[in-house]
Amino acid sequence: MYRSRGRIIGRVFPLSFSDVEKELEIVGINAGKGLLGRLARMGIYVGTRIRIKVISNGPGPLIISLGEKRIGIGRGMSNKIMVREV
Amino acid sequence: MEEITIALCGNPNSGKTTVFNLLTGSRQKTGNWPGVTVEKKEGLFEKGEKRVKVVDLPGTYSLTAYSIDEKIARDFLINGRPDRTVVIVDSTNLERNLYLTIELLEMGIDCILLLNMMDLAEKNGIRIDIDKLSKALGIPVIPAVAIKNKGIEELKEAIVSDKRSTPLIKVDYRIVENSINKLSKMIEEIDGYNLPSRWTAIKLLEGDEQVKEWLSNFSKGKEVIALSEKEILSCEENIGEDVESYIIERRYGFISGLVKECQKRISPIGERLSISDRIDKIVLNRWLGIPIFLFFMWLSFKLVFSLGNPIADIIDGFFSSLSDLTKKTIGENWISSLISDGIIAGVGSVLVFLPNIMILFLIIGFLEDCGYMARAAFVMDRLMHSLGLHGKSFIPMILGFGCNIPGIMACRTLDSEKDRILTILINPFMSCSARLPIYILFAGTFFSSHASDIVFSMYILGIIVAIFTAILFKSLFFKEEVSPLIMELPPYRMPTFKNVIIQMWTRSSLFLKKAGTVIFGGVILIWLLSSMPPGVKYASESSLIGRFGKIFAPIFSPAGFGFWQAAVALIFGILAKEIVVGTLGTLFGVEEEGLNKVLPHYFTKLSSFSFMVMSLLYIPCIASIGAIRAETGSWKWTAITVFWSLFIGWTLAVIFYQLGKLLL
Repeated sequence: MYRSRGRIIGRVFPLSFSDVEKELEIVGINAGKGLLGRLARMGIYVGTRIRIKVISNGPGPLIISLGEKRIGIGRGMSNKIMVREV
Repeated sequence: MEEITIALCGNPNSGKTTVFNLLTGSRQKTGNWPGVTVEKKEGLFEKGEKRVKVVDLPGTYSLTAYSIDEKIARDFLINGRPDRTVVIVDSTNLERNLYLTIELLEMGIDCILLLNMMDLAEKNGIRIDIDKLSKALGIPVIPAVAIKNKGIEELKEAIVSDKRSTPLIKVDYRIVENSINKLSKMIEEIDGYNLPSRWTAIKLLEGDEQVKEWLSNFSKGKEVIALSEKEILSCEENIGEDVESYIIERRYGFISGLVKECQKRISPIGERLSISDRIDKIVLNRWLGIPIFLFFMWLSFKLVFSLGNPIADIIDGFFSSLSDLTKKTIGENWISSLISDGIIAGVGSVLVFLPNIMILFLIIGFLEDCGYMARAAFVMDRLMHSLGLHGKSFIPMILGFGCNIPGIMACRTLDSEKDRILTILINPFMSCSARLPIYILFAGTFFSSHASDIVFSMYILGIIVAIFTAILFKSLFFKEEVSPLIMELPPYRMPTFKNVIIQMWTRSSLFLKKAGTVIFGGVILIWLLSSMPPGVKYASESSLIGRFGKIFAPIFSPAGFGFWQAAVALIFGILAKEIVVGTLGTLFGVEEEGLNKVLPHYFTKLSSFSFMVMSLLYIPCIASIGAIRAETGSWKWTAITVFWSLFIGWTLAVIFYQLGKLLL
């Protein structure tokens, strides 16, 4: 179990472990301040709903959808984004 | 006539450069991958009584800058004080694209919002209420389809209109509002600081380094910074997370509310996207990704050859008859020698390759425009990572195949300084189009049936040396970890014919221009040196150039081409790599018989190969050296590239030649 802002929200795993086309919510990002801000400005922050569209070389580089946008996320980064299924 | 300056800005891939071209009519390259505009570009148009200077800025997601191209955009918006700013957004993705707009409006910048790609938005089932959006933001909003030239006249009208708009929006930052108010009160009291105080306060809480730097010029500013750091800590205790992320989330929250008001979604998802996703599933597949990439590369070289060579032969024929004609009409004297042996043989032997180069640029343009280039970076990320490079480093490397200078410039899209410098340093090993004539000439002469495979092997060798250099430099100079890859992947699109052709022409005309200037000058110089001292046999060993070449020739004997003509060609090739072929053309005074008949007297199959290896790797051309110096800002790195490339080029040429002699 995992807590985010005081709520218990169920099973949490790294983005790299998730399947294609499931709706996911970001519950945490293990990154330093600078990277957090950078991701947030692209629209990736805690609470964002995303979906994996393509897994290129699992577990690793993948494409997520963020609204109608497609964002490619490299291997290292996809381990740092923690998500849960919605 | 009144002159005003406007800035074009927007997220990467929102179509800024296309709009810029339409406004100013200038020929500019656009591509379907993020970061096409890495430097600001200027153009002009006139409308009514006004002359408008348009500045096209690199794409940026926000006013907090990470990479150099983003810094250029931001500095211009804040310090360049444009009279008006046009924000271009991708209407298919309003929610993600409005972030930058909101930041600009928070700063009180007088904006015009251009909703680009409205046709796609409609196709995707999105309806946007333009009036509502315009009222909510307090600025003019113009719908447009830039690639179909729709909405551009309306944009021009709005740009020159005297009506000023005052942005109304105010994002509610809830828990941090208190701190914002405290800070902005202090900021208001700083004499001479003229950026908006509320905006400055918010940026301080976001931890913006640049704003801190500006403030620290004021004695009171330092107090403000100290206070902001305290406020950040107390806010973080309150909200239980990073203040910077919180502020960004609030902004997105505001946008989300706005978009709900002004946008209706009729059907769930666009067809274009689902096709794009399906293509990506194949192109980025774990097993197929790299083979598909290699296949595209191989196919490209096949095309460069099979389509280019027949046309090249025609041009070649043209120059030989031109040379004959000159000799017949002018007679055998020094003028005809200058024209036929010097200019026609030299410049002509380079121009012959124009068709091949045009096709190469056509293919690169196509790959960029359709959206595959961004994917290639993604496919290669894993491999690049294991080599200590960033996935994004791959795009500058591919561009280097066209010309190293744009390749080196494109490194600006890399966020980390160390990734950027490393990518710049290996770029010259990516075999540029100027080196292509050398391979086509030698491979065509000595390996006729396998010519395209031999040329392909040169490109591969360049990549291998680049990789080896990256690993070596990484372990010597850049021990840090590579920054993670996150990049937007634009949907695939059919490249527009016009766009690809304009791009090809802009790039190829640079080659033509070089032929008329540097190469022309180079071959005349070589012709002069070959004809001196007076009375000497043209291009003989006892001519000035022969004596000069003979000093250096012994250095190249271990590589199998230790004669003075080769040494001269390589040395003058530093001016521009095309000159290597131009020099050979001039020195061997090719008249009736082509270079491909003369070369076998001097080179063997093996030494022609080692000569190609040397030409590929040794010292970058003067223009590239200049670009490396400008982009790294350091003579040290420039010197390291020059010496390293000379060393590795010579060493490999020798190794190939000596090993070949043993084995064959």
